[in-house]
Amino acid sequence: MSAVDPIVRFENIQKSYDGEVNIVKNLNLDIERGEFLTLLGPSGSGKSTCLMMLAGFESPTQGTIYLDGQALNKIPPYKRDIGVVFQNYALFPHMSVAENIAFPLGVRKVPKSEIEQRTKKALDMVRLGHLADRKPIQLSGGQQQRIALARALVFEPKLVLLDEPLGALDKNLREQMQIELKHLHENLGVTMVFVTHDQSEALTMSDRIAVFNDGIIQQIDSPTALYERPANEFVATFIGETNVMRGTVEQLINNTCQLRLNSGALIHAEAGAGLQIGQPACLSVRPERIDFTLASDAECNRINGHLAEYIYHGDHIRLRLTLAENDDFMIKVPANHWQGSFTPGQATELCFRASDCRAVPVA
Amino acid sequence: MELAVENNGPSLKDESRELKIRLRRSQRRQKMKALLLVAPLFLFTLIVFITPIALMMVRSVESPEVQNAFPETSKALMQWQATELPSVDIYALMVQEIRQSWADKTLSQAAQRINYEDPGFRSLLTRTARQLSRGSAPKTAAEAKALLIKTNAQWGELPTWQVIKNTAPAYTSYYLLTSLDLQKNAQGDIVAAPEDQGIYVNIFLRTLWIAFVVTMICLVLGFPLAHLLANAPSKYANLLMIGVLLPFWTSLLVRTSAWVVVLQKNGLINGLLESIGLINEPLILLFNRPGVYIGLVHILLPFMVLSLYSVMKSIPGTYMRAALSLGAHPVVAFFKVYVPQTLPGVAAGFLLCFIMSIGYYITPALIGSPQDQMISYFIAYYTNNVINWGMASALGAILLLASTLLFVLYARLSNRNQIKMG
Ligand SMILES: Nc1ncnc2c1ncn2[C@@H]1O[C@H](COP(=O)(O)OP(=O)(O)OP(=O)(O)O)[C@@H](O)[C@H]1O
Ligand SMILES: [Mg+2]
Repeated sequence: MSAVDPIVRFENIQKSYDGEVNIVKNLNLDIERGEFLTLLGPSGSGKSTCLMMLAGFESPTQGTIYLDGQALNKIPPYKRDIGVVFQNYALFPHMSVAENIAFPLGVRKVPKSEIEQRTKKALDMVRLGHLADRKPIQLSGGQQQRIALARALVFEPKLVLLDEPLGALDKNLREQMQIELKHLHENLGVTMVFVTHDQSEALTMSDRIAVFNDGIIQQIDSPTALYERPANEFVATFIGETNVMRGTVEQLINNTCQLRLNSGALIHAEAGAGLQIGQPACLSVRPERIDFTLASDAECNRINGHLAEYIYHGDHIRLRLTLAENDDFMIKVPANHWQGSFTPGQATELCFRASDCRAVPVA
Repeated sequence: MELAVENNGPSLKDESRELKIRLRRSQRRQKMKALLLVAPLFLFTLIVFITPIALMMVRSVESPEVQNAFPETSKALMQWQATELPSVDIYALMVQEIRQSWADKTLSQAAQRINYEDPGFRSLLTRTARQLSRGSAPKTAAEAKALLIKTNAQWGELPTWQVIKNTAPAYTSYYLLTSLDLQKNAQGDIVAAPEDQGIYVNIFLRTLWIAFVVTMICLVLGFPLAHLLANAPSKYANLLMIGVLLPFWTSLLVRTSAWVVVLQKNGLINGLLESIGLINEPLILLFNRPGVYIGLVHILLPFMVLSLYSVMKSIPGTYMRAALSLGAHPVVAFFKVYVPQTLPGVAAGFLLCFIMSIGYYITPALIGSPQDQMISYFIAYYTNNVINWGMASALGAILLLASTLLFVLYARLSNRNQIKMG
């Protein structure tokens, strides 16, 4: 992904609603042609605000957004050719499903026969051709969702924005829709910008994820990179599950470092950008990277702790440990690898490789 | 497939019947609970609202006066063929009952009742009664007939008796027919009333027209205001709402009288228009149709605004946003997406304003000319001025019928809309 020809460019965007607090603080973001970009962040972090500025319903207090190289500031929403799927779907209740989908074509003065044919095609695309004559209220949540999607896609926009479109669906349907959406994206090749605060959803679907917090993009990267190489403590804790311990950087060589934990243990770890010798840092170890089989490996990091809780999850087992640094330390073991016995309070030694833990700047 | 269904048919049917019964039973319990909850209100409405209306409806067809005054004569006249003068026995009964009712003071009511159908009958009856009561009672039936015809020759004419026969039954269609500019001719057929008496159809049409114009003005003025109210930031919306509700805090009579001050020849409006040089001569705004429109719109506008507002408030902004994002120009989006969703409110507001204005009395009475009076003016006239409850009730009943028809129409329409929407 090169930034040669981005379809959207946010340039120094700031946004404040009340003239006091900047909800979005100096946002610079390039969206690549054809990618599936997710804006991920906790509630209130300004994701929807960014999306609404792109759709034209809010205007930035400062900075310029470019779509296809063209500044959007003065272009009203209805001329932007951007499809939007809203969280509550916003299907027009007084129109049938087919009329809803035909709406964007109708206002574009597309010939009647073509409208019919494209509406039908869009309905078939989301596999709801048989519901054309229903009213939106007669559809289930998932069906409404698909109709909203078909409506946002039928006029072949350059860009489709989806603001937590799956938020109202139950878990199973949600997972099914995630995959369907992903397939649609692959088949159509349209650029999609997706907003969610569900990190697992973001990981499953995205080409790239922009992690928002406090109106700032904390990191923008592929799902693997975000998970494996978080840039700071916020990203490390927000994406996936992790155990955090604090310490001070003692040595920094290329991409590795030595970290003195507050409890005194010395840990070898991968180093994130922005670390400095003598500065505090945060060590992140994923629960599934702790390995009991490493006991004999002299190279690996070792910490002492006590078993506190055993939680059975069917396919895996979680152990909660109390450590000097962190009394909520989680370990995840595949159920078939678990042979040990569990006694609360039992002292144990944790081992993890230097390549399986990462030191990042504190948030 | 079909075969299998048929095989299972009976048991399936039984099962579904059982299910239906159970469903009905559980629903009945819910219904009972709901009924209990509304029972106090229902009783209240029944006593202070439905009963008087029912009594009014009865009054519009009731005609007990003649039977009260002349019970035996009425009975006899109802048997009478009305092709030739009644028998001497009826004359005798009549004489006796005129004297009796004169003494009982029930005669004047009967006289007035008959007078509605035959002007002049009141004086005939009162004069006759006065003369009869002075003399002594006749000894024989023949003597009674002679006596009666002697007091006034009209008693020897057939139409006189026909009128009494017509007014004798306890129920009459006279008031309702008159309210619709109809009457019964001598043969009992329903025919149009003579032109100089037929005024009510025109007044009904005028009432409907004024109500329609007022409602349309309310809609045109109210729609943007309601839209503003529903979409303004709550700080301003609250202030605006107070502004809309303010008129409710002042007495109707005060507001209407205030219009007289504002609209009169050298009143506020004319003064203002003249001072900015828009007009040279004062406009006539009072005691004419525009004045009535202005006064009624002012009173009914809040009802329209509130009906619209309640619907508009529940339309989320995302619909308009969605329409814009789909490429609709704001004007197109407004008319194709927003307005259709406000239709239930438009219908409710329209109906409310319309029904309220067809029954309006005080405003047209105070700021309208005689040519602007609506049907309720005449109802009031019949109740207060001439004490003709029959006519007042009949006009009221027809007004009620018109409102009910409108309401049923509205309910049908809104039901159909809901089904379409839902
Ligand atoms: N129209 C508005 N007027 C004033 N403040 C607003 C408005 N819209 C959003 N905000 C504020 O801006 C901040 C960011 O809102 P935004 O909707 O962008 O968050 P978000 O990241 O989409 O959160 P969520 O995941 O809950 O949807 C919030 O603190 C919110 O209160
Ligand atoms: Mg949001």
